Amino acid sequence: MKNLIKAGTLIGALLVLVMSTSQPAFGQNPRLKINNLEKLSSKAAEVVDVTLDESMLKLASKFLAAERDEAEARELIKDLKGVYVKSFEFDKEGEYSQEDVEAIRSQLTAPGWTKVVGVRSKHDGDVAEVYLMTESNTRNILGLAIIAADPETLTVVNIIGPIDVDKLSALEGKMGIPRLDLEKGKASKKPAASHDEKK
Amino acid sequence: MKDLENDLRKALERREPPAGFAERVLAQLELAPTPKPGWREALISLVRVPSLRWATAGVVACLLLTLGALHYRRVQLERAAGEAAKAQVMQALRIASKKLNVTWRKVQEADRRPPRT
Amino acid sequence: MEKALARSTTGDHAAFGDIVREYQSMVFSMAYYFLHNRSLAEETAQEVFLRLYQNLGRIKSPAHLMLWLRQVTNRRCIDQARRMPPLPPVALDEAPEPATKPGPSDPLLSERLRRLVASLPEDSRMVVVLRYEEELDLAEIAEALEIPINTVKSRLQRALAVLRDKATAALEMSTYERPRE
Repeated sequence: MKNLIKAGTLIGALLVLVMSTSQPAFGQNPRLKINNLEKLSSKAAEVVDVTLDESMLKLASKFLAAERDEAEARELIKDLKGVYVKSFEFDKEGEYSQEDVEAIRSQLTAPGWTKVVGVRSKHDGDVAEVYLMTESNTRNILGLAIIAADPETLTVVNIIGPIDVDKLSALEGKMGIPRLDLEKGKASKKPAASHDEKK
Repeated sequence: MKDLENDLRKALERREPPAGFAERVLAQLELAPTPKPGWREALISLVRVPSLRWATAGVVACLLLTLGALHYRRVQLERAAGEAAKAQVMQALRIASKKLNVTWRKVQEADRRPPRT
Repeated sequence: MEKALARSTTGDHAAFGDIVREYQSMVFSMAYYFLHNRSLAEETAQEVFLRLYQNLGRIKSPAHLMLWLRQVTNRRCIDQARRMPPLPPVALDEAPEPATKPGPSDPLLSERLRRLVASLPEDSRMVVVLRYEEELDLAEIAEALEIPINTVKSRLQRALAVLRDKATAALEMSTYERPRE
């Protein structure tokens, strides 16, 4: 009987170890359901739709160069399980509803998700929220979600896996986009490839 | 008591056919059509014929070229898929990075605004 | 033998002759004891080898060749037997001389047994021939005759029982005791 108890305890301990090392805790799933936004494609002037699972990320990784921004990107996606982006730019306001955004936001109230920063402007209708899902005991990052919206654009980003948020943030300046000097509020002198959101 | 089985063995000892049996069989072969070879022998005999040797070599060369072309096509397709995936990764990271930084900026702007009185 | 087979396939008659000489006694003996007629046995054996010549491309190995020869000989013997009238009973003083020098055993008994074997039903006759002339085991007989092994067993048992009874009755000598089961 004692041996049976010992064996059971050992098995239980092993299970906990296995489950806590590399797998998310039970019930934690950093993957968001964002396909409901696809209906907005027909109304949008510009659409960016990115769906990359682990195998596609590995394939892309083989073709990322060993220098500059591609090397940084390769490092960033190294251990990721998925990258999903839906971004819409509309010609006029009112092409998407608050219900569309709420359908995404409500998923981010599930256990494990934490809003690390959120800004909503009633004045101009801008929304910018960043969420992270972390493992309860280790605090390792399991996923990232970004909701960014203004009256004429809507973007949802969902990254599955241990993303380095600081490196992701730093990537902008290396990709030919003017990095905004967050301290001084001025653009750097690097060549621009696109502009920021409209004022 | 006699052993039936032993007696049968003795009674049924192997016998030689009448003399010249093999020669008579071979004589009949002159009148018989040539035996049909198996597919392996047929293939080997094709290669042995000098005029067909070049044709066989040509067929083999065509097969190798086709296989090579198929392999090249597969590599090309994989490259196209890989480049497309790479472009998507760069675009996704660009968007994520931009939106992240916009969010930090808005937070900082909100912090700088004087509180309402 | 493998080389002879390979060469025969290309039409080498000399090589085929080697194959015939190697297997002629086996094929002839099977046919002779089945048909109990020398000329018919030779005719049947020739047919078997001519068929072999036509089908050399299908023979994969010497072992396959042996099996093929036994199977085809059996089939040709059955076909030949069906064309023949039933074997008439032969008096002991009319028994033909054996082709080979008889051993120390009773030649009259041997001849009587040969006749009795030739008078067995076709389905058990070749079983007896393969068992006591070719000395094959039951599995080999089953393979050669393309029948289940249990069928070989039952046919052999029946044949031996018939031979025992008929041989005892014909010779009016001491009986063959049935083996204890």
